[in-house]
Order: sequence, then structure tokens, then C-alpha cells
Amino acid sequence: MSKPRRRSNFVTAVGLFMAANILLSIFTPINFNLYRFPYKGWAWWTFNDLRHHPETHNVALLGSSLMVSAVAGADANYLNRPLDSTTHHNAEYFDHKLKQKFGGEFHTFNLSAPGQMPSDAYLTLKAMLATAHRPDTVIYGVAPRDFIDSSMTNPTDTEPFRFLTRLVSTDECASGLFRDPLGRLEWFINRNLYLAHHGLDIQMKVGDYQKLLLDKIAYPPNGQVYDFWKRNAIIPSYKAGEFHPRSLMVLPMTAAQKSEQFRDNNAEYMERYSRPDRHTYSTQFYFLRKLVNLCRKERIELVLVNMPITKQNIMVLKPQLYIKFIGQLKQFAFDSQVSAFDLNDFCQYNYELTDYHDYVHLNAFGGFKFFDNLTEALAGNNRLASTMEISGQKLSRDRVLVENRIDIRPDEINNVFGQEIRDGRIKLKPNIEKALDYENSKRIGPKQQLSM
Amino acid sequence: MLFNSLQYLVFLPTVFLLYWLLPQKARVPLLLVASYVFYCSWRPIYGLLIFGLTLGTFLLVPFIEKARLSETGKHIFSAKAWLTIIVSINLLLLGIFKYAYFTLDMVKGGLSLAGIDWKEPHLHIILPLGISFFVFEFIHYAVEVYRGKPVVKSFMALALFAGFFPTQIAGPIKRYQDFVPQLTEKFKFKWEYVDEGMQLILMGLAKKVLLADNLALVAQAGFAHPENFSSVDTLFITYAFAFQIFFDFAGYTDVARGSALLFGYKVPINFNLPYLAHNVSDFWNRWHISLSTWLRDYLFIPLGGSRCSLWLNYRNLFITMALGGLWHGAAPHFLAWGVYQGLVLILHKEYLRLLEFTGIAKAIQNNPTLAKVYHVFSVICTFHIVCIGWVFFRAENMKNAWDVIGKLMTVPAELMHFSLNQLTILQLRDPIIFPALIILIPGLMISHVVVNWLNDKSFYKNPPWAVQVGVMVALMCLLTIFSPDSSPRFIYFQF
Repeated sequence: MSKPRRRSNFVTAVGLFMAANILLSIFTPINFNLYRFPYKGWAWWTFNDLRHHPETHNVALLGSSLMVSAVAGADANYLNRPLDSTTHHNAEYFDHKLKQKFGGEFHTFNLSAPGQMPSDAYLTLKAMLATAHRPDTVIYGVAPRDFIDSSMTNPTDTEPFRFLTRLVSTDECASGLFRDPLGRLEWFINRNLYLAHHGLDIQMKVGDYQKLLLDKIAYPPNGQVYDFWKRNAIIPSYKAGEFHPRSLMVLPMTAAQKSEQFRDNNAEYMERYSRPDRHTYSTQFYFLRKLVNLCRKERIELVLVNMPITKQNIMVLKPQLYIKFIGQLKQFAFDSQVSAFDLNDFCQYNYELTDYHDYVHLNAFGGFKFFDNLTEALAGNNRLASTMEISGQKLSRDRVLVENRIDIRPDEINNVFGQEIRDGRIKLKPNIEKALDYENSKRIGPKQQLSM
Repeated sequence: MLFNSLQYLVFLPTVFLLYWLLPQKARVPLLLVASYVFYCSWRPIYGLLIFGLTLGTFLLVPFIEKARLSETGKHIFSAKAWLTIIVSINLLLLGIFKYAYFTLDMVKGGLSLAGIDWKEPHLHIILPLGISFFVFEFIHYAVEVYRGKPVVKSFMALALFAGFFPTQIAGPIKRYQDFVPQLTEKFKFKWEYVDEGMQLILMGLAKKVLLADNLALVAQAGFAHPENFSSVDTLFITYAFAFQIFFDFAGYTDVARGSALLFGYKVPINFNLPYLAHNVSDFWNRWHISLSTWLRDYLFIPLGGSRCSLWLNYRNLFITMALGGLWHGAAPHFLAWGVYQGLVLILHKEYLRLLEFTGIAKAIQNNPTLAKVYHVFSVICTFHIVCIGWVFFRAENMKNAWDVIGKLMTVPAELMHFSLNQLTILQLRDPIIFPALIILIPGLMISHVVVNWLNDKSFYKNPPWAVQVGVMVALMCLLTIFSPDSSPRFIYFQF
């Protein structure tokens, strides 16, 4: 009879596996580009654009598709040209209005994304700060859907959240992310186990080697690799929702097209409002508070805006719930000492049904109205008006300064933001570091916004 | 609760620790509670179904034994009547939950052919997980008692036999004579249980996550839009599905067997390198062994088996396989798959008769080189015959199946003037699995041969320590890296 073993191969294997993870965490032998992501969704394109445009943005917009459609529609008409959603992240019409109203220079970066909830908005702003951009003012357009969307379960389920957690840490908000211990356990494993934390990076690296190998032994016939368009035609269900340059264009619209393009989306919102969940609601307010605190810490002026939606959509939600939401939002703003505007006040603002693409999304004409009203609302608040004036003047001065005194070639800056992110820190080339230090020191102190 | 979920990663070690920490007499109750927790985690109400069916079987089956013993063969009908009642209850429940929609569709189709427009009622029935498996286990138990085997005296033992969480959802279909005696064994903790069990679990998860889930992308795209692919592409896609379903189900079985082994229990194997089968009959001895032996023992043999005239034998084969197909799912394409398997089994028997009749069989036997060549040829042919069957199995519906079969039929013609330009899979680079099929499919075929060779050398019985540890570390690393956020369900969960 064989003697029972006292040693377990499995336990030895677990020990070696843990040791490998610890050693990899200590020595970090592989450099990963955190901006690489296999799914090119809205958040990826936004940050791809942001990191390749290092100029100062003194205003940032946050919000869901309601903000996206207002900005895109207004800009397409204002610039009178089609806009590519992968590259157009400015708000030219809004900049024009702000400049008109407050003088100086305004350069707005539009961080809004379809489906963005306060949890996404918080991480989006945090990631923007991590890419060395610090706006003076953040305008966040909110609507009831952002707090109760029944199609979302955990904040971690959204595409922006998955991408942005690669760029910034979620340690300080982990308590608000999960509704069950398993979710938290998964987060803990992904956070602390090197191979789990960098699983996606390693997958992409392995994918690169696989491609190299396949190019050698199974080279595409005539060198023709199928692009995004052909891939979508052949396997439409793969990476559904991903988009590429020229795949999502916003076209200028004429007044005659207003009613032609109107679409009834009540059925979709019936589903989205169908199971308002107290946990999701309180979780999203938790993240809104985190956003307020982040802005306060970074000395950013945060402005909350209740986005215009139609009465028909409010009827789907139920008016009493809507009124309750507005009340809570105002109370929240008051408690947090944040400026808030209800741009959907039916007594004060007059949006026609023809200002909308559907029952919630403003079209180009609605977009114009919205930014006109927003600019007036900002001007009507003394504190905000002076903040905007100072911000406009400062950007104007900075631009002159950068253009005249600091000689940085655009390709040098692109190089900086293209590759050297390692362990959450951006490593800068010495000459550029000096130049950016000089710029940063004027605003928020040395390199504060460069570390995550 | 899925085997490839974090929930199971917490559940299994918790039950494992409690099991070995508790005294012997508390272990079976613990496993039973754990099994019901496992089952109810999906839809608690269906816990009542498995409990009710267990209770019914437990209470009724002893009547078979009583009738059999007291009447000593004179009134055997009585035992038969009890058996009929028990089997009918089980099949009725299976029928209601699994085939109600299918039956309504059939009735509606029939009526519409007769020109009657009938609107079928909506039944709101959700198929309980694993019902096909535990119903088959209960039927097996009742039939074996009818055939003279002893009844299970303990309700807990019978409940755990059907509800044992590692095998509850998708088998392997156990035999109570093998499983129930293990419940009374006094297991002492051995590291071997952990090592062998965890090795099986890791291997199973790797088969599922690394291979089956990636190949699923190919099958999904190919079967959803066959028009987008050339005939040779479609052939690769069919191969991809053949390996997807094998690794999916074999992976599940490995995890099930590994999980059972952690508690000292042995459950039957389900696969034995099925794609090395040299004929379709051999294939069914190697594929889903627990189901094919169940079908043989409780359907084919009761129908008359092979100890009857040739035509009756063929009829029995055909009915067994057609019903076996329908067991996999209540849809015409599953029935077509079963019918196809029945037909190829009959054709194979006829082919063997022809070889015997012409003397070719003897000629092959007498020439070792020819026998080897013929064996390789047979394996390749069998694999392709099985692959054609998988098209019916995987297709969304019959039209989809015929579309894919139609494409496969034109492969020889396309190969006559074949050019790489025709291959869509080579032109895709995302997902990378498409062009990788060129290497992966031959690799997987070769892996079958290598594993067979290692089996012959008894390598798996006592692998070197370093190899065992190395393989486990490598699998842990690979699974950690490549585990997707949401791995799809195991295919056999839907049956």
C-alpha cells in the first residue's frame, strides 16, 4: 500500500502562482499602454482625442446622450459641416456664446457620452485630470434617466467605466461600486492580482504576437485585411456598438427636417424607467457627491444643469417622480454648495417639440436654445459670471504665452501623451516637463494633475 | 450558478472546507444542503420541483420492489404498473417543461396545413435547469429496481443522488448502484483528492474558457450569416463548432468530475477522445458516454435491442437516436440531428455487411499496412460524418441547417478551383480566432492523437511532480489572464 502523501501539488502550484504575481507586481517587467483598449467606444474616442490635443480646455461638459446630441446638433449647424463623432469633442457654438458673453477665450472639451451616469462622469473627469487637463469650469447636464436606468445594474457595467478604470484608480469609491460582496471580491482580485489586473493588457500583447505569427504563415490574400466596415458586415454582432471614423457622422439639419427626423422613443424609455431602483439611485447620488468633492479639491467650478426633456417623457417617468427628482437635485446642490440650473423649467424656458430629435434629445435648433439659455443662466449668477470672465481672460493670456514663449512642437507633445504612462504616472521628457510645469504652476501647483 | 463564475469559485471552497471539517455523519446532509443552495441560486421555486420529484420517486419506487418480491413473478404486471406510473410521472413533467411549446407549435403547424388558423396559448414555462438529467436518473433508478436491484432506503441518499451539485445541471448521468454506496463510505481526507480534483477543474475551465468560448465566436458568426462565408470557410466553421461543443461539454464534465473528487466521490467519465472514433458506432461509445449508455440500457434494449431481426434492429436504432436527438432540445433541428445519427448508424451496419459480403473486410484485416491506412481513413471519414450532424445540432432552425449543409456540399467543387482569396477567415484580423483556425484546427486534431498516445503510455496515471505542478501553474495564469468578463453558459445547460 502506498503511503498517503503529505504534500499537495495543488497547494505548491497555488504558492508558485501567488509568488509569480507578487514578483511581477514588484518588478513590473512589461510596459503597458493604458490607453489601448480592445473596444473602441465613446469613452475611448474621447480620450484618444483628448490625449492627442494637449491644448488647454477651460470648460468641460459632462452628461449623457442628451448633452451629446445638443452639442453635436448645434455645432453641425453652427459650423455648417458634417461632424465626425470620433474626433469632434469641442463645443464650438457654446465657446462662441461664452466668448460673446464673458470675453476672453473659451475652449470647451465635451466629455459627455451616451448613457453616461454620475459614476461614469466622476471617472471621466478624474481621467481628464490624469491626462494633464484641468478645466476651470465643468458643466454637468443631468436627467432622471442618469440615476435610475433599469438597463444598468452596477456602475461597473458601462463601457466608459470599464475603459476609464484602466486610467484611474477606483480605490476611493469602491464602497459605492458594488451591491453584493462578490462584486467587491472580483474588484479586489482584479485590483491586487497582477495577472488579473493586467489580464486585458496581456491579452492584447498576446494578440499582437498572434497577428505577427499569422501574418507570416497565413498572410491575408493580396494583403487585404478586412477593415471595420467589412468586419461589421460579416460579423455584425461582434463588438456591437463600437464605432470608427466616419461611422457616426452628425449632419447639419434644416428647419424643414425638424419634424421629418422626429422619432418616437417612448417605448425605449418605458423600459429604462420600468424598474426604478433605490440602490442605483442612491449609488448615483453617491458618485455625484464624489464628483462635487473632486471638483472642490481641484478648485474646479462645477455647475449642475437639469437637461431639457419633453412633457411626454416626464409622463412616462410619472410627474410626481420627476418633481421629486428635481427637488432632491436642488437640495443636493444646496447642501453641496454647487450651482444648479433647471433648464427644463417649463415656466421659464420654452422648448417646442420641434426642438427635439425624439422625446428627450435636443436637435440642432434645440441645442442652440439650450446653449443660449445656459450662457444666460451662467451670466445671471454673479459668482459664475466672474469665474467665467477670469477663466476666459486667463486662457487668452495663456495662449499668447504658449504661442510666444514656449516652443514645443506638436509632435513632441503627442509623443508625451502617446506612450509613457506607467503605473498610473505620466513620464515626461525633461524639456516638455519643464514647459508643462511652468504652465501648471500658474494654475494648480506643481504637477498636481499629472499624477493619478 | 455557473461553474465558470466567481460565485462558484467562492461556493466550492466553502463547501469543501465545511465538508472536511465536519464529522462524517454531517457530510451527506451538508452536501445535500449545498446542492439545493446551488440549484436554488438560479430560481428558488424550481428547488421544489426537484424536491417533489425526488420525494415522489422515493415513495413510489419501493412499491415496485414490494410487488416484485411478494408475487414472485406471478403478478409481475403490478410491478410493471408501478414502473409505468413512475416513468410516466417523470416523463410527463419533462414533457410539460421541455416539450409543451414544441407540441403547441406542431399542433399549430398541423392545423394551419388543414387551413385552420389557431392561436396557441402562451404558457409562461421556463425550462428548469438540469431537468433532463435528473429525470433520466430517476427513470434509471426505477427501472433498475424493477429489474431486481435494491431500493435506496435513505431519502437523503436518493435526494443527493439526483441533486449532487457537481452533476446536477448537465450530468454525467450517474448510476445509483455506483453512486449511492459511496455515500456510506467513510472518506478520509487525502491530498490526492485535492490534486486530482483541482487538476480536472483547471483543465475543464481551460477547455471552456480558452478554447470553447473562442471557437464559439466563429460558430456564432458562421451560422448566423452563412452567406458571408465561402464553402471552404464554412467547412472550417463546422470544424470549429465540432471542437467548440466538444471542449464546452468535456470542459463542463471535467469540472463536474473534479468538483466531485474534492469530496472523495467518483462520477463516470463522459468522453473518450470522440474524434478518434473509426466509425459512428465507435463515436457513440466515446461521446457523451453516460447518455449513450443510458439510451442503450433504457430505450434501445427495452425496444428489442439488436437480438432481433435486422429490420427491427434498425428500427430500434432509429427510434433510439431520434428520441435521443429530441432529448437535446425541443426543436425540429435537434430531431433532425437524432434522425441523422440513426440513419448513419444503420448505413454503417449495412456498410459493414457489404465489406463482409465482398470479402474486403478480411483483406484489410490480413494486411497490417492496409489496416492502418484504412483505420486513418475511417477516422477522417467518421469525423466528417459527425461534423455534418453537428450542423443540424448547431443551426438556429432547419432552414439555417440546410443553408450550411448546402454550402458544405459545394466544398469539393470550390476546392477544384480554390484560391486563398476566397477565404474570408484569413482576411479578418479581429477577432484573431478566425485566421487562427488555420493553425488551431489541425492543432486540435493532432492534440487528440497526442493525448491518445499519452493515454497508451499511462502518462496521466502518475505524471512527474514537476509536470503536474507546472501544468497547474500555467493553467492558473492562463485562466486569470484570459477569463472574459462574462463567459457564456455551457451549451449543455440548456438541455
